[in-house]
Amino acid sequence: MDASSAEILTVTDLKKYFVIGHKGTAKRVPVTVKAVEGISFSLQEGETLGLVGESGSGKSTVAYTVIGMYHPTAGTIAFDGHDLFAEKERPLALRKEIQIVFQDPGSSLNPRQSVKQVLELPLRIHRPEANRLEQIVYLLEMVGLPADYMYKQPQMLSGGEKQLVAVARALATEPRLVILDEPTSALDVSIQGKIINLLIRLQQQFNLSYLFITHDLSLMRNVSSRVAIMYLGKICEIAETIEFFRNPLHPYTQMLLSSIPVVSEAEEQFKPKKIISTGEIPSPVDIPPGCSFNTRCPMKMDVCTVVDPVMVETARGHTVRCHLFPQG
Amino acid sequence: MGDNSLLIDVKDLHVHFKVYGGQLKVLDGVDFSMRRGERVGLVGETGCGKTTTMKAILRVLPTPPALIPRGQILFKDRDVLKMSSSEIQQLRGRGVSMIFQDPTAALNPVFTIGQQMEAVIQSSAGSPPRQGRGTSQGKLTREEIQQRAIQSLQEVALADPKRLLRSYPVQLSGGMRQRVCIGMALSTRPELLIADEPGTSLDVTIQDQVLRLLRTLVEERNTSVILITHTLGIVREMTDRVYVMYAGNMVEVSSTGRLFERPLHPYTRGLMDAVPRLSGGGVSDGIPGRLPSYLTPPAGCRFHPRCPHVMDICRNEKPPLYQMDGDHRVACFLYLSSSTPQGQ
Amino acid sequence: MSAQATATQTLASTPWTPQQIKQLERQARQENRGRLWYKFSRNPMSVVGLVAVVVLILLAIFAPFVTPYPRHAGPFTDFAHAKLPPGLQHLFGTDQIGRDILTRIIYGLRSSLLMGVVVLALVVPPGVVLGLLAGFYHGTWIDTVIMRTTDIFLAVPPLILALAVASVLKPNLWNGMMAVSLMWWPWYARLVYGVAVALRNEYFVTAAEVTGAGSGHIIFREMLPNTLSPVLTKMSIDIAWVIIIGSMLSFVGLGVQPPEPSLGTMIADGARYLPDQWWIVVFPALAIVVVVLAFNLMGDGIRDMLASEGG
Repeated sequence: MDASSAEILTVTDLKKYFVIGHKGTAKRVPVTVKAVEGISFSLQEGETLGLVGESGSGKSTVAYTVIGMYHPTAGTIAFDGHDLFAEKERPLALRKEIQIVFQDPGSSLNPRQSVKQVLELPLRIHRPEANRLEQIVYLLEMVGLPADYMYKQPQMLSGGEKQLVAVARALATEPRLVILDEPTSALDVSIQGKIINLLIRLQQQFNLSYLFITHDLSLMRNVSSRVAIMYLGKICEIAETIEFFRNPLHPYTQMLLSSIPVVSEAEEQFKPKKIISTGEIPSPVDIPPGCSFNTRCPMKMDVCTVVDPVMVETARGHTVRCHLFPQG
Repeated sequence: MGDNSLLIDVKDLHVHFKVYGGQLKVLDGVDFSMRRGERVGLVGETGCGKTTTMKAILRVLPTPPALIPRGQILFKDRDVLKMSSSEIQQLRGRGVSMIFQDPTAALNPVFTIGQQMEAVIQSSAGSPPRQGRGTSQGKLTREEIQQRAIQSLQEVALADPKRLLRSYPVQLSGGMRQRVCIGMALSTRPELLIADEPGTSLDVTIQDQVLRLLRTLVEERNTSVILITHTLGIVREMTDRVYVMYAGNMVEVSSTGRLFERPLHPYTRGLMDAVPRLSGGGVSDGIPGRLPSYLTPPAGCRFHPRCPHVMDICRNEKPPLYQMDGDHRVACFLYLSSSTPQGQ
Repeated sequence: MSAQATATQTLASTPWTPQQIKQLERQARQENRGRLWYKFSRNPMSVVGLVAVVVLILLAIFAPFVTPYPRHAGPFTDFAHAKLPPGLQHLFGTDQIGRDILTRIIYGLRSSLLMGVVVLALVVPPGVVLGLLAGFYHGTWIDTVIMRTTDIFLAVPPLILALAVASVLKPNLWNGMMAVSLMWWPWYARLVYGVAVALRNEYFVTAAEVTGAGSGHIIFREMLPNTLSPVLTKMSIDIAWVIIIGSMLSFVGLGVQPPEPSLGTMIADGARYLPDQWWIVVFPALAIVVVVLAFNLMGDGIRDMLASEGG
């Protein structure tokens, strides 16, 4: 890792709770979903951090908080040293630097707007001095779309093309950090590669930093420099990619890796021994005490039902949160 | 184990859809067959015609706008295209269950899960339940139906089935809805299970659990399964034979093991290459281009505009399925000379 | 991303000149128009409706030139030729005072259509804006104030409200329109509110917010275009309804005053001549039916035209 690359994003003890209703008729106790329950990680400039988790893990909530859709319930997020939530309304200068590509291209583009109008908005707000038409043509070429796509409406584009427009839109403000929320999950595997490779090229060309969220571990293996696994709002394990796949430590990580359907015998060798989940996923409003994974963990010990483990570093750059590893 | 006669035999199926400006010639001569107890995979990208083929077999295609100008569909040796709607109903109801791609669309939002499951179990058992009386001639009591429903929900790893039965679909997450649909489909103990992208909205660990469950149940009861998907990994784990489909044609058919060892058709190869590997090595660019227009499909082989090995003959003639060794067949002129003589 | 400064990609270095871009834009607009028309005309009945509406509008505009007896639309009596059945001189017959019914129907159409257009012009913009505001600020006091006001107006039986207003003010066409407008706007607010609340949570709205777009942009450039389809469809069908309500008003003596012709008054006055001089009532009634049908069919076409084509 380049010692001179700065830390561009620092998340410290982030918590995000949602009150989804109230229980009881007399006392009206609020029912809270603890979507993110104290996570910390950092992203170096120019690197790709993969955030992996299944539904309910809170990975999307993290993304949406970083982008400014939600305000944290607790904890801080710093971009290049600046607290992102110092002011109630995030200043334009910060909005410019952090952009997002959403998962579903069908709903992330306004069906009543042409591609030109979609790309005009970020340009108008953040780069009013630039010649807009020029920039739009440039952006379209950058993602490999012909300039005459400007006048097309989203319905005329294929899923992959829509997603390319979404990428162009994200890059229109010349950001430094791009959050990719499952950018190819909704697309067929035959076009996934094109978009992924485009993202990698753009990263190299413009020294972008990516927070790459996905549930597809095989994709993660080929795209990120570091991987973090989330479960029920907490991070279980963080490591550099190769180390992560070579030596997964957390039982949940092993469970995930062993369930991936792969397409070749060669890959089967890379999967850890099959770990079968026992028990069910708890509801996010009713998380059990101790380690939240204890309802499904095949290596559960007594302490796991009582005490929540803390993150420990087992090797350089490799941290894990599990009682199997000496705490503190 | 058990009967393995031919369950489905589709020959030269053509399906067109009438739209303004002409017809969408979606299926262009599809051949498909399976035996009882087999697990067959149907692989292809979105829009290639997989769902249309299944709908045609079950005769749930609305005709108009769909037309079937040519082809034969035999289901349990009976010609589906010539049957009356009541005969079809009979053939379908007891024997076939389908799990749809979109669980939200498959569940009626105004009825509880319990009501919907009861309806399904009831109709497969034959008639409305009787309060209190025991089972006789296949009729089930309300209690028995509830038991079956709870059991099915437990089989797909859903917590608190009793409460779930009282819930409405809108209260469940997407993954839970998909599992409810799978549970419903299995609760009728069908002869044929058609699963259309059963894993898409599921987490990888739940998907793994559910697919393993499907495999067990299928083995126990000799259920025939058609698994439709664009995810190659699932096909490899779950099926015995695979059909690869592109733009309304079957381009390759083979036993699963052989297909993954030696994919022959350029499209199949492209798909395999496009899957990111756990072993690393970067991501391939995938297959350039997109599916052809069904309104004006390309002449000759429908894959030729995207094929890296296209030859002149491909632009003009459509390749038949050439027989290779074993039960491996591929529709590509590259294999014209290496095939064994009897063609399809 | 200052690397972009080094890659000075200007329009000059791309294959497109500004003139070519303009050309492209023109082409795209044409294509769009073509596609909209194709979608509209898929159902031939929509085209029939459109043609009928155009004909009706032209008739109304050019009434003095198209009608056989324009003077009959004003104070005119000719008892010698009263109550004549339909014939060559008077295609729809004459009424109890001797006026040509066909002429009066066409003139009556004028005030009906005028009422339709004016009422909608008064009602739609505020209704839509209020609905959008309430939807955008969903969950806040703005939402509550707007929607409760809407509810209040909707709670009053519409005809009663119109009658109350019309009886306080002088009975004439203009005040009749005011009355109808007052009870019409809440429907648009409600309709747009429903759509706006759903749109509020769409990813493309979030994308615009996240990038820093102001509320004005979000409401009018992101949300409004997505409400056009239901609003325009409702408008085309509403014209028919406004005409009917207008006829009802003049039926009870409010709205257009005699001797100015109005379809509603013609029906009211002519009812007593059934069944012998049936033409005095039947033709005006048929006219209303035709107008309503024409706008409804056209409305179907507009709905098809604006329906999103789907992925």
